[in-house]
Amino acid sequence: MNSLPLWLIPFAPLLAALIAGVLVLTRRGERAAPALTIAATVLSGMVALTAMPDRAHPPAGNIEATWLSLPGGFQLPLGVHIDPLGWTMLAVICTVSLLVQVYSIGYMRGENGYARYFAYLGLFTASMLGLVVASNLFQLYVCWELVGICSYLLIGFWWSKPSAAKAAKKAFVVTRFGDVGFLLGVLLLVSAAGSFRFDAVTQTVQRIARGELTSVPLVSAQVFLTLAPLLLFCGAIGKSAQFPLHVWLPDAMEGPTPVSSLIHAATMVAAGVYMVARLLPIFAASPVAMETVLIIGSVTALIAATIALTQNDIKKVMAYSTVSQLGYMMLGLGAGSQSAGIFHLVTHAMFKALLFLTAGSVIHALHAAADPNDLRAMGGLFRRMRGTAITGGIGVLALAGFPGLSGFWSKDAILGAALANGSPVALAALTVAIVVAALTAFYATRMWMLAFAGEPRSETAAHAHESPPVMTLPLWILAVLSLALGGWLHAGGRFTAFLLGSAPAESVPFWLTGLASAAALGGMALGWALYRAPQMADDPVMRLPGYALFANLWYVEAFWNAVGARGTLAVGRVVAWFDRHVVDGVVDRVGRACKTSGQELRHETNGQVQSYATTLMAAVVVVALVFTVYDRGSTPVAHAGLKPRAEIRSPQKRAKAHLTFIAAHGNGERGDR
Amino acid sequence: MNAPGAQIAFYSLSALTLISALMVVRARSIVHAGFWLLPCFIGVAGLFAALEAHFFFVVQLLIYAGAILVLILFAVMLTRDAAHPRHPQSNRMGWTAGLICSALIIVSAGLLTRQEWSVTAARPADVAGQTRALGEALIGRYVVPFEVASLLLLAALVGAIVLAKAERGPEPAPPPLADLGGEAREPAGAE
Amino acid sequence: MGLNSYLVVSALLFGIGTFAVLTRRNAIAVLMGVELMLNAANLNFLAFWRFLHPAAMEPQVFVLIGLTVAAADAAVGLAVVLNIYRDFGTIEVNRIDTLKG
Repeated sequence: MNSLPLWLIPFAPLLAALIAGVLVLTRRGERAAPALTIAATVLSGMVALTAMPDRAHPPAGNIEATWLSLPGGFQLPLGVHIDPLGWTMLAVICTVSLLVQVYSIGYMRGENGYARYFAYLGLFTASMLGLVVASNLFQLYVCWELVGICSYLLIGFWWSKPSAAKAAKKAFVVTRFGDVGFLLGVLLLVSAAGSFRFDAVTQTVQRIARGELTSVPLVSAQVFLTLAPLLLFCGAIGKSAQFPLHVWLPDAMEGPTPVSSLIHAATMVAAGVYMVARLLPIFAASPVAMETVLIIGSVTALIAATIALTQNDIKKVMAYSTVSQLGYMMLGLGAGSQSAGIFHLVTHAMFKALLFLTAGSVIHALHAAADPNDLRAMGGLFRRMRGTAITGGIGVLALAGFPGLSGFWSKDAILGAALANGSPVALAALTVAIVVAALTAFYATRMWMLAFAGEPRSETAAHAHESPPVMTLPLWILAVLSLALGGWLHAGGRFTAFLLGSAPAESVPFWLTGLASAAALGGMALGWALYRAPQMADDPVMRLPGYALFANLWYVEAFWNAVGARGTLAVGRVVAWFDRHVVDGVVDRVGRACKTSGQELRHETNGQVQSYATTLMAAVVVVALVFTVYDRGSTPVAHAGLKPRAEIRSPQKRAKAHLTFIAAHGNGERGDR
Repeated sequence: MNAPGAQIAFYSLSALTLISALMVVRARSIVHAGFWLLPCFIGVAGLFAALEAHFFFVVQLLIYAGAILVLILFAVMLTRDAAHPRHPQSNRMGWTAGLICSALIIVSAGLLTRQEWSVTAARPADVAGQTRALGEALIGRYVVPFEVASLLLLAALVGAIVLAKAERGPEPAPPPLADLGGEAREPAGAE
Repeated sequence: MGLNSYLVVSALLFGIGTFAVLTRRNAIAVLMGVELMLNAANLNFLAFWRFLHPAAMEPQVFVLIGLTVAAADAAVGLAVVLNIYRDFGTIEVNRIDTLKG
């Protein structure tokens, strides 16, 4: 099928964002901003739709271009390359971005910076699309950083709020921290492969793994195989909020809720997962790297799930839930299954975006309260916000893994992948995953019950009402997707076939599915039972052993504050001392030397003619010496046929020769040497 | 040229010249210094004679010992009031200058003597021959430098007159030097 | 005596003259030093003439002109000294420092 020009996919939203940015400067034009960006997103989606590939036929419109050719043979490429993995991501991004933008029309109505918001969203969409259609590491990295910038801009959207500004900085700095490792990994790979392109890089790694290529820059081949994916994974740890760099994601909830939904649930944080999936052959070449991914994924999932139990802020629960689910995705990838990880990415995008948007709907309804996010001040919203409650409930069921909903299928796939892997680490991860499934079900149910069930625990909750259709419509769409998409993709191995080109070899054993479902249902039942009539003074969760640890976020924050923040400040103090005393010292000394030497030299122009004359004579002596030293053996004057003086023995002949010489050359010649 | 008589003549004339020159430099009183110039010039004239440049022997005596020395002594007389013998006659750069001059002497003498000059055994013509040749050269081949030299002398003459002429009436008494601290001025006498 | 002897003498004389120029306080003494230097130069010239090219007249013309110039220089120099004496009231070289700074 002929596709429209594929470069439209990232560029249409970019153009819309730029125009919307200009509209920021006008007053009336603000209304047009969402129309622009939504239209652009729709356009990108349509272009993507026409470019749907299958394994056998990549879309005809794939673009490869060179932006810059560097001396030494490196080329910085740009390209649009859509394969099934990329197309899946395109579908997710366009869908969620579109729905969130529509939702935002209602959510952000009346806010200052309305056009600015949509400009940023458009920019983000463009960057994220550019990231997933990238055909090379260079473009991936550039778009990676771009989405980081957009995240910073959007978290700090209400920049006059100090906590928001701090959260934005924190997000940027923490992810940047991971990006250092990412960049090192990229550079290492590129220096070995000689090119930025994915196919070149993966082929090089596979050749090294097979032993065909033994010399790599900087390190031995064996070290390279492990080091490169681990360095790349650093970026994923930062961007996808894995332990220990997950600390920025909960704080990122300072941004508007649709932003949290789009960026910090569905898409940007998934970029790390996408990157690992895209480069999975590189990871697969090193068992150590795969195990690392597995371990970090499972640790993240567990820690975040335990913390989510203790949170009273509706968005923070969801934030930690996102961290936990991202850990799940990494678990799936680490177990070796690209399709399981990406499947969960897709379903998670749907239901987590849904959950955030419902949270946003609730927050919007409770905007008059002191802290609209506080679960303890909610309650009884089921009767007052029926649509939100129902869609929220569907999201919760999907998150918990209720059999039949989309989350169920994708979690199942991950568990199956861990089981199929069979290594001790994978089996341990499997156990953790099942525990996490139970915890997830529990805290999700707790959240829903606290928000919607029972009686209102505050005035604002009592007076809440349903959000306008522009906000509830996306909720319903996402709810449908959360219900059905998982099952549809799973049926007949449709998704795996699309992604990998062939259906999975075996399906997940029934006992595992049953075990996971039991865990989920158990968690949900417990949550329902404990929070049917919640009394916030005595939150059952607080009786949990280890509550203090969980509530204190496992002290990871404190650790980063001490090491990262104070450590950097200490280094900064040392550097500042050096700058002040050494660098400035040198400069000051040079200045002082100039001044002093000027003062001393001033005495030279004393108006005394004799001192001038003395200096002059001294210079004459020096010059004469120099000429003596350097002028030894100067070339003899040409004698035009006369013999050199030393050869003329007889004095008379010598005199005659000399006179002849003078006659020939004139007077004033000094004697020949 | 190496006859003992010639050697004695050379050494004594050189000694005369150089010692007189040293006295010129070291004499406390400017008048003494001026007078020490005389044996110096005479010594140089003698050396010219030893070099068989007889014309210049005479010219040296006439011009240097005769004219220039007198001129210098006149100037000394005219400015005697300003010369105070109490003050040291050399400035503070004595050692530095001495060092530099010694270096100068050593370097130039060294450079000059290290060269292998192609000395000829020919002798110059006698006085008449030399003088005639010089005269012919001055009027013949080198008439232009000759005329220019005359112009130079004319300019010097006019310039000296203009410069030395009193510009404003009778010459005022020179003001006393401020840093003498009340020291009485020495009348007449040496520097 | 050989050429070298005369060259050494002239070098010594030149050095003494330079010393006088650099050290004496009285301006007229400085001029005396200048005359010594010029004498040394003439001596040098004539020494070369005598030992290298005694038949040539050019060195003699040179010396003659040099002598002329020395005389003119002495005349004008002394006139200047008189002028300075009149204007500054002193002929001590180290007091005439309007070039200072």
